[in-house]
Amino acid sequence: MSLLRFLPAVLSALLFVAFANQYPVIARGDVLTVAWDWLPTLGVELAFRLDGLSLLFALLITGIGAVILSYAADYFKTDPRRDRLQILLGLFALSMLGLVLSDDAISLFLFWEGTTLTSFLLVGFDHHRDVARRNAVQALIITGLGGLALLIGLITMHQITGSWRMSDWNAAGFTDHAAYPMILLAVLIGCFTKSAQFPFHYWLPNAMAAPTPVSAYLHSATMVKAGIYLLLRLNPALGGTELWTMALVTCGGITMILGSLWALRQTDLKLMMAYTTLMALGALTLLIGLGSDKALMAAIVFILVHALYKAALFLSVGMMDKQVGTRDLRHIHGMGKSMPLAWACAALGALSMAGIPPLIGFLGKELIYTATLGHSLWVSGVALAANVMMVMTAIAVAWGPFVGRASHAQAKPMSVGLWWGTLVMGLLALILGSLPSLIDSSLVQPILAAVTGREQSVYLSLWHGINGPLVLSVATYALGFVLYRFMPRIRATLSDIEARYGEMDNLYQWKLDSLHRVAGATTRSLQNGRMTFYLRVTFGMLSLILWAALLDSPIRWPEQGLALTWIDLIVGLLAVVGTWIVVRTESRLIAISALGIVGAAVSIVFVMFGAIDVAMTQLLVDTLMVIFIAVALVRLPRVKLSRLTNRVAGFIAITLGAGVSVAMLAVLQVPMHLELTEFFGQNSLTEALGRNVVNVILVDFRAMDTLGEIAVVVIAALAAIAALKSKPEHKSV
Amino acid sequence: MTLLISPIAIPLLTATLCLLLRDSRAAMRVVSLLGTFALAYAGALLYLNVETAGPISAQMGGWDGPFGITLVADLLSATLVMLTGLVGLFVVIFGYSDLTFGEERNGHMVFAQVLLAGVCGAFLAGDLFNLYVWFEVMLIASFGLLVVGGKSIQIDGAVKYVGLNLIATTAMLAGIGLIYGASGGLNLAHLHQLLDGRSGEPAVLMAAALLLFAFATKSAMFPLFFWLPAAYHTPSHTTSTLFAALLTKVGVYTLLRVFTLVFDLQHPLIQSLLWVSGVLTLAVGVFGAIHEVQARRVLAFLVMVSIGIMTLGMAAGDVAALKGTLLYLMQTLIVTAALFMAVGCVAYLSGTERLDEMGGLWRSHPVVGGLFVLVMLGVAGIPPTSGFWPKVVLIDAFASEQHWGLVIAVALGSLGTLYAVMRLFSAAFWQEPKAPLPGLMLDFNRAAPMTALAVLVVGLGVSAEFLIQVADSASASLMDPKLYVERVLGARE
Repeated sequence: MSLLRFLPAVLSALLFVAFANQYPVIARGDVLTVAWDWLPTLGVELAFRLDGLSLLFALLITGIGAVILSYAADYFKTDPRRDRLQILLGLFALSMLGLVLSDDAISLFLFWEGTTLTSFLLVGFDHHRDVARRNAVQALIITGLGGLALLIGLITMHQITGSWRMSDWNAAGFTDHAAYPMILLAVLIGCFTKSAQFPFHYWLPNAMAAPTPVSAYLHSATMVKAGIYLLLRLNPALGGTELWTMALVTCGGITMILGSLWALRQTDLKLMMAYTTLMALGALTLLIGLGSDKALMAAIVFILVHALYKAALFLSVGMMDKQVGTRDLRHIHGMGKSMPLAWACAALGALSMAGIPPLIGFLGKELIYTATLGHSLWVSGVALAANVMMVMTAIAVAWGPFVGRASHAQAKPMSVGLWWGTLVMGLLALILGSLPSLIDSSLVQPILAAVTGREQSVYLSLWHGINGPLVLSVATYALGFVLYRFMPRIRATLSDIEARYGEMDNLYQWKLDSLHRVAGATTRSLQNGRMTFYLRVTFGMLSLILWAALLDSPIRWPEQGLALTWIDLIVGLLAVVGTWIVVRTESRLIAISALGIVGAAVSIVFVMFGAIDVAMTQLLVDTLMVIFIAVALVRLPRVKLSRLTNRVAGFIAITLGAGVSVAMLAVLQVPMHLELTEFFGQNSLTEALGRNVVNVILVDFRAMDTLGEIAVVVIAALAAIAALKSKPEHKSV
Repeated sequence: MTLLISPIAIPLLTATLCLLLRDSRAAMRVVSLLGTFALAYAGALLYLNVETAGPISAQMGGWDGPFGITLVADLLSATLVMLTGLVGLFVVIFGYSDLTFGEERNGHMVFAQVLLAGVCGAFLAGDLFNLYVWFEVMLIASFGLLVVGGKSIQIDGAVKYVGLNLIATTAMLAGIGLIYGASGGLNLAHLHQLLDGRSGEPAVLMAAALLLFAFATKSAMFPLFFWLPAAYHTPSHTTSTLFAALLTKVGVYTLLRVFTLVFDLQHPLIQSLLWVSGVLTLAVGVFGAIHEVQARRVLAFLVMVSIGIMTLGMAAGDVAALKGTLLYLMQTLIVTAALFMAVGCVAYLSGTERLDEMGGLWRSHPVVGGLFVLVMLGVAGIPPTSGFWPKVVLIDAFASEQHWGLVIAVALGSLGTLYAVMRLFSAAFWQEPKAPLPGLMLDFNRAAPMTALAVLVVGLGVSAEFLIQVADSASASLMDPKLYVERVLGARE
């Protein structure tokens, strides 16, 4: 039963074998595709495509996945949350696999967001810790932002080509299109956030709040390379321009230096590894930005190099943590004898990271130097500086904890699940480094062909004779070993700088806090709970919208003029006087009575136009209203509004009234279409058998309205009963 | 005829029966469940019928349009009626556990059914004044639903809700009066003919302004939204879900219907008003959702975010943007219902609705957590949920017309929504609760509809072709209502 915990690892291994089986096909230069229709109306498919680049990533995801899942099974051997972790890791692995296999951009985006979400859930795995929750949300916000930008870019590229297939995009190319800068910006924001490039890099070290296996898998070996993957994938469509080179080399270079420098400042070995991941991602971006065949080849090899050594190092750090209970390099030393396996794993990883032959890291570094020397001196300088610091970090992780006086009396034993995979990865780095012919023409060559869009022939070897890159490599080791002696001093200086100037993370926090402040202020001032304010805004808006329509249209004063009789004037005056009293009086009783006058005046108007029944209804309603208001007003508190508020309210009332009046005048200018009126008049008696046309309209021609209104009256009564039944609560709670 | 009248008649009949049977809790429950099921069934039949035969109309009382009242169902209204029935069904089941006997006896079921009748009536009305009547029905029924609980906070919310909405209905009535005076017609299809080419006339434009105000208030657009966050968090979760899923959507639907059939949505004045209002609605919604600490107040502001996005779609106004808006409209009905119901479950399990007090459910209720995550993806518009596709269609539509401002507004709105829902999730599921959890489990009546809705959110996303096709043909017929008019008025000249 307990062996069941290795099931996910076995499944991942089987997938690895399945992909490895396709190796000969891809090595021949073939491409496998499969597609299903998804949303034909939008032209979206579930389309997958396996070429060299996809295969490399698929092998990394499933291979490292098998190692990590087995490691996690023992790392969380007794933890009740193990199943949950493995489910999430499995979901992540599937998303990541889908991402690198998709040819359809929407399918890619689906899996892209899948990795974002699973990463969020995994960073927040230890969710009882505030920092884990906070950093999970941070990672989500930043990668979510990138996802949206990417989506905009993808949609624009779809608009230009009419296809969602990235293979079609690569065939078309966008570099000459007018929208190219916009597309590039959108795609780069997507890739830079995902792959933690400056200025979005800070979420990655924070994501180390996740358990070690998660960090090793998502935040060094696979997910953070998704952005790199997409840059490589879209290189034929978007790459090769000055803008591309400038953006990628600048951001990549800054990330590289920032990552390697800040790695030196860390005392937590895991954080140190996180910053070296930044360095590696920066290096990859820089290489892709350089864009020459040599640089792209270096990038491809370095992806493999980094995945192997970084996963091994992360897992070794996890082993130390498990065995002695700390991963602080100041508190762990001299444990080599009691932890030989951890030391072996860490040593292999660190040797590769430092680029010592014959490990594959040496190959990667030589290629990087070849590529940068082919570009310019200052880029080579950046690469040299970063690599020197890598050597120092490598020594710190593989030498410091294992030699010297023992810090702990003993180390806990380790189960097989924890170390076998790590050791395999370390040995793989050694084997592939010694025999690069295993991968050059069969893996790197088809990838390079996919990335550049042309046929390529690749030959890798350890020894190229004494040349520029080799000289730089030797300088790297020498400087690295010398400067390692000053590591504590460098660390102190860096932490001093950090304390003085803060980190990018503080800027993020400041932005988030400001957002909360603005949100709070806006919400509190708008949704303030005061009905009088709501009413002012609502009526004000009504007036505004009326006047906007009024001023927008070619309004004219009625031509025939207004023929007013003296009765009209008297009734009008009555209404005006009534309104004036309502507004001016201090006494509620007088106000209510005056309101009655206004109502009566309106009824008289109805009478003047012969609508006796309407007048009667109006009079009844008005009488009832006055009574209701009189009853209700007595219970309401007196609110004294400020003079300004009153003026504003008055202004709104006057403009609204004027607006409605003008609107009615405007209607009077249009001759009315009398088809309906005539129909009702003619058919009321003959067809509907009723003499009173109004009644017939109510109960026959438009009986449906009356049904609705009856429902309204009934429900109003029921609701009133329900409201009256409620008892006022005393604030006892 | 029967097909068109039954979505209104069935709930009215159910309401009457519930009123008569109000002393027996069991009888009321059975009747309202059967009634809502019949409504959902009728909605589905209506959809199938319209889907094959095109728009259908029925003349009430046998008086042919434009003289009598016409009920019309085109693909859009039929789909919305169907979704209304479906949401109604889930809400009724949820209410079994969520409501107290007091609320049921005070008439919750009666009001809910009348509300459904009003909503379906508004979707099917082919006559402007009839539309007004259904708005009144909805308004008074929602007042009833708000006050059945009888708490003073509910009365307070109800007063604000009704007060502000009354202004809207009054403005609507005034607008209808103006339009009748200016044209002599009330039937929407008839008005389409009468007002053809007259959209710039002062009287018509002012009537349009009044109706725009009314529908904008009903949809809770900026700055006419105050009633929504004031009232949505006060009643039972059942009522909140019903409101949030249906009411604002009716506002958006009527705006779209009336401003394509009668008025001109692409009039520059209306476009710019919608533009400004849409952006501000989105901003206020996001800000409120980020700021609030009471779960349902957060949700109320999230409803505004969805309204803002649809408003921007209408502001762009071309057929592609309308397609996105319609797609958004249909799926947000389900997503919003799912969200409110999910939060109802969370609040029940945590025993509180305050974000700073809840927590710990990820450990104790992982399945609820998983479903909650799905719903949140739907709200934030992340694939493969249904919320994703309208975002794609809208961004596509905006970008093809070079409305980059709208593209960025939608993107930032989505990001804000994502942050707000994750804040909710992190609080409800991840943080440590202030007080120990009550240790409750979800019962069937709560769990089943919530699960069904969450599954729908994903299902409608995975097989979105159905909704996309509806939106595709509905937006085309909104822009070119020839067939609609023909089916209402016959071959009449």
